Amino acid sequence: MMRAQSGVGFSGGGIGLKSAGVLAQSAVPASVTGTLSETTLATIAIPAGAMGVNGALRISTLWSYTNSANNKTLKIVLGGVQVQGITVTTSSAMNHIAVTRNRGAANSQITQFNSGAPFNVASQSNITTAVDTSQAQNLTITGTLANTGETITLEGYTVELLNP
Amino acid sequence: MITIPVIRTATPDGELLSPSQPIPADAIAVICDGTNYFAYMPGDKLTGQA
Repeated sequence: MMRAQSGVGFSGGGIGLKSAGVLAQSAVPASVTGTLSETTLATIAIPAGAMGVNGALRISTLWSYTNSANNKTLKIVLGGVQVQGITVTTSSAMNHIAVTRNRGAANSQITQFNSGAPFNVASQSNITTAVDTSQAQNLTITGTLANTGETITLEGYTVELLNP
Repeated sequence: MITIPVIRTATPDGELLSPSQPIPADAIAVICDGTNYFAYMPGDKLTGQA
């Protein structure tokens, strides 16, 4: 029988399944209002080498924001490089998952750069980045308003390390 | 409530606001108004809270 415990791999019934590791998680709301500048709403430290050469980061975010025609831009940035950018307007909330994968090297990633729902078709090409994950990096989650009277709230996030 | 000034960093898209010191781990809510981050702590009444 498979059984997962925090920090312990699946026994996998002898087939070597491994569990995801939760690197950071919060449901403390972080909001921005009153500014048009991109604003950091969460910063998560990614330890050097934690993301293996074929590892991945799975970033789940829960957002709420003012329902209006104005753009609200929600970004995920790894090591100073944007890996996800979502622009929302006339809706009120979004639950999103982004996965950034190393491509056989610690400094080569691919991520679906989608502007809407995760795991959806996207008009944009996948984005490739070259962040050196053998070095410690910060993952930041940011929000940018187009109207200072509106609000973006990062209601919660989970950042998981997936290593084969 | 703890007030933490923002740090402004120039970026290709404009500027990025970040807290000048870490948000306390036991904060219950955080709001940035473009000048400061306001970290609400246990026992603080949130704006709009009855």
